[in-house]
Amino acid sequence: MTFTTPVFLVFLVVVFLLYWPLPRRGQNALLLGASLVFYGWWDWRYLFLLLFTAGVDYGVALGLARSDAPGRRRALLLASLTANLGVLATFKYFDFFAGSLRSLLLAFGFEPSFVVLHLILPVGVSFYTFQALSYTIDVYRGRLAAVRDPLQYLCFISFFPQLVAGPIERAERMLPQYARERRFDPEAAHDGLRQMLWGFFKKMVVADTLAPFVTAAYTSPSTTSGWQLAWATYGFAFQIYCDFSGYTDIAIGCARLFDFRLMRNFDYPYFSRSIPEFWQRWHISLSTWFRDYLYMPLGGNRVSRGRWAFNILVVFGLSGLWHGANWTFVIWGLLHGGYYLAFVAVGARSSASEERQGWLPGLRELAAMVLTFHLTCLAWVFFRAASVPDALLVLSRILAAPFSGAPEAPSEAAPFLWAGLLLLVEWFRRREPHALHWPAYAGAWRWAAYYAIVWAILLGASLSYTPFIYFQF
Amino acid sequence: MRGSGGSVVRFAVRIALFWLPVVVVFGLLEVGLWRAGESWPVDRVLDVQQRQPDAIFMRGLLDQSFYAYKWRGVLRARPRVLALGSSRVLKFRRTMFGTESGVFYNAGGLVTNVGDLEAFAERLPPEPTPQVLILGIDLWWLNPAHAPGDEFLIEDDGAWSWQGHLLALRTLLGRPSAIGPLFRPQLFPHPEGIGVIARRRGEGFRPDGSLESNLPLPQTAEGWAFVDREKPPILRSIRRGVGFFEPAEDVAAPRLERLQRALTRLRSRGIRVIGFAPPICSEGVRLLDTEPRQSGLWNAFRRRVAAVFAAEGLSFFDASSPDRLGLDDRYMIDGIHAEETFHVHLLRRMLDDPRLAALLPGTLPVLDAALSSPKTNFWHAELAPPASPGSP
Repeated sequence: MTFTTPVFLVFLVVVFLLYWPLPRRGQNALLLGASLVFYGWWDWRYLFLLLFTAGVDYGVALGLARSDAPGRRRALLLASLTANLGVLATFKYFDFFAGSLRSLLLAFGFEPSFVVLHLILPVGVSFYTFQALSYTIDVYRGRLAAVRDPLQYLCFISFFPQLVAGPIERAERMLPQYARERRFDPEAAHDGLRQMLWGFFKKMVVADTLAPFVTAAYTSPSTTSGWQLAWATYGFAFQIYCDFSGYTDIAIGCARLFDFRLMRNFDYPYFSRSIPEFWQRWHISLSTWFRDYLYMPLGGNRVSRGRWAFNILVVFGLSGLWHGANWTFVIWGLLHGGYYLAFVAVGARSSASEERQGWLPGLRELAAMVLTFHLTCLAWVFFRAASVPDALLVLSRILAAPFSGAPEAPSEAAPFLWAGLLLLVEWFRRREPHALHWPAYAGAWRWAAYYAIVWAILLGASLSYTPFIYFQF
Repeated sequence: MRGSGGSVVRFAVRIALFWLPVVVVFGLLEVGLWRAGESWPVDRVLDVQQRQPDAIFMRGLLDQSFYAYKWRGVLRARPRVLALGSSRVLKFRRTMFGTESGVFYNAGGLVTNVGDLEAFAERLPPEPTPQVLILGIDLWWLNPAHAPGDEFLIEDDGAWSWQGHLLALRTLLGRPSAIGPLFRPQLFPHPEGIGVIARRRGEGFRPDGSLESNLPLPQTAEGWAFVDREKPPILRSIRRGVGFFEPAEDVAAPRLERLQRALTRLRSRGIRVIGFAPPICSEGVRLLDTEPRQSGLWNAFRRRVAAVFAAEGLSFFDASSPDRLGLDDRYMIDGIHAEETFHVHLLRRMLDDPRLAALLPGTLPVLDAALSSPKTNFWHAELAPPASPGSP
């Protein structure tokens, strides 16, 4: 089931109306049932995979709670890591590594034969696997007590708003929310709906209308002009932001209808003035996951400068690989790692909290934002292209464009106008948790704005089905 | 409610109130679409057409759902004679078949590539199957450079597509003058039609599945001059090698094999398939014959399809140009579609084969009468009305 289909809206209304009259345990049972329906709607067979890893992690955590023996605890953690990463490796990475190894051996004159599995990637596997891993690792580290109620644990793993594309939640934040009584807060529910509305606008009006233009250009870069490829790259920057942050807005807003608080995942990333700041604002739940469960265990910044740089590149490289089994994603991650090191080296390590107050940015701030945005766009070329040669072709054509003729406007202007409008609105709302967080505004103005957005969605949204980009990760 | 008394109810009411104006606007437009027959599901359309023989059907805002409409039409009609192919076979109609008229159905639009044909052959239910199947095969079905299609979306009815409804409502909101007639059928020139195009233009599918084009009949000799009404024009597509005419040197062998498999399957079920290549206007044929990028596929298509039919012991008629029947472009309404009279000539030519004439008793006199009637023109033939049920 996808957020942008009418069936989801019907599903949400039904679950919402059934949910509130129930006692806490009944609410959890309903959420679990709804989450399984939500996930099984896509392919019910993969429910078994989800339940398998959830079962392993639940048992491992109980085992960890009962044991103080370091050897046994390590073995239990290893079992959890093997189960979770094994599923990920089998379904997501097996063919990639087998293919890469085969290419490598072929280059050395060997002719190996490998089995290729061609498995369908279960939706959201990277998200729920990382969420589950955070639980067993935290229990192993003694930061968290193992949960005994299987219902609470299954709810934590499968909560439908964030099951397939995050935010990647932490057990220490979420499990207490399943254990406590929930109270309906009309203001929180209204704000949740506002955030959902903005998410729908981002996804359906901006991301999905940009998608065909971007796809057309990136499908045949050799026959698309450099100017159009440049526009397509800008377009993709907004497509992926609106697609993913739109999903997150809907997820967070949806959770608030049930009195759950999910973590923030995006903080207006394109207003960043440096790459380190960008990573404080983009896919926050993933970057903090890598910080806590990979970067810190590698030594963080309490190591030599060379080792630290290596750690950064490892984290960013693996972050790229997390997105997909393709070298393009690895290069995307390594590029960001390189940017990160360069920004730190020159001391340009801004943070969101240092942002200048006022309606307009200063010239220096604007220049830093433009530079940061273009660096991310350069990396997006690798993220979006089908292969590394394609990405290099796109870059070469873009770089050659100024020498090959007069500048061209994008062949599809309307999606860029929507993206421009979004940028403007988000700039002025950038200090709020989401663009429509305006409880203090007069009711009439708010309703007028809501209607404007509803009509923009009804009249401007793309009608062809465009899956959320991050579903494939 | 947990701890909050009626706050959930108040919240729900407030949200419902917010959505009310949107629901009212869209609800009213939906009522208009229903009144015009635009949003009727195809089963309802077929029910009404069964009761009202004059009711033609063509949507203008929602998806036409060719596949669903024609497939269900075939299943209901269970015809003894079936015309099958793309839009280029749509001019065969019930009245051409004389005493056979009650058992004819035109499924033009249901099969637009070899994948569709295979799917049709596989999914056609057992008895009663058609005894005669007139199959129009388009050049591009076998063009390796043309997308294979292979969709056969017989389950998809545009009446149930929320995207289709949203698109229709967007169109109406952008063209408010189109809204009034939806509520007052008498404002349409053809109020008996089902769907916006049928009501506005009098164009659509008859209950026998054939197409009523309702083009204004030329009134002068000059008016009969050929006009390529297809958009984009066919001659331009051939010259540029785009649309249906991507250049290729030969037919796609795998598709030819699939065509043969489908024919074998149909033949094994006792269905007599009569194949034909529908016509292209004479300038188009000249271009296909002489353009080096086009001639390879064009020649191979006619030769190899005929060979496949011959191998199956079936008849194939090369009607790929009007002059092959001794006709000219005046019988065409655009570069790739001929009108009804052409099809009368084609059917008459088919019945020169006594085996086929035996399969369609009663058809020959009707065709001969039509072709000799002074009322028959280049587009419309003077065909006797179909025999009513029970009449001799």
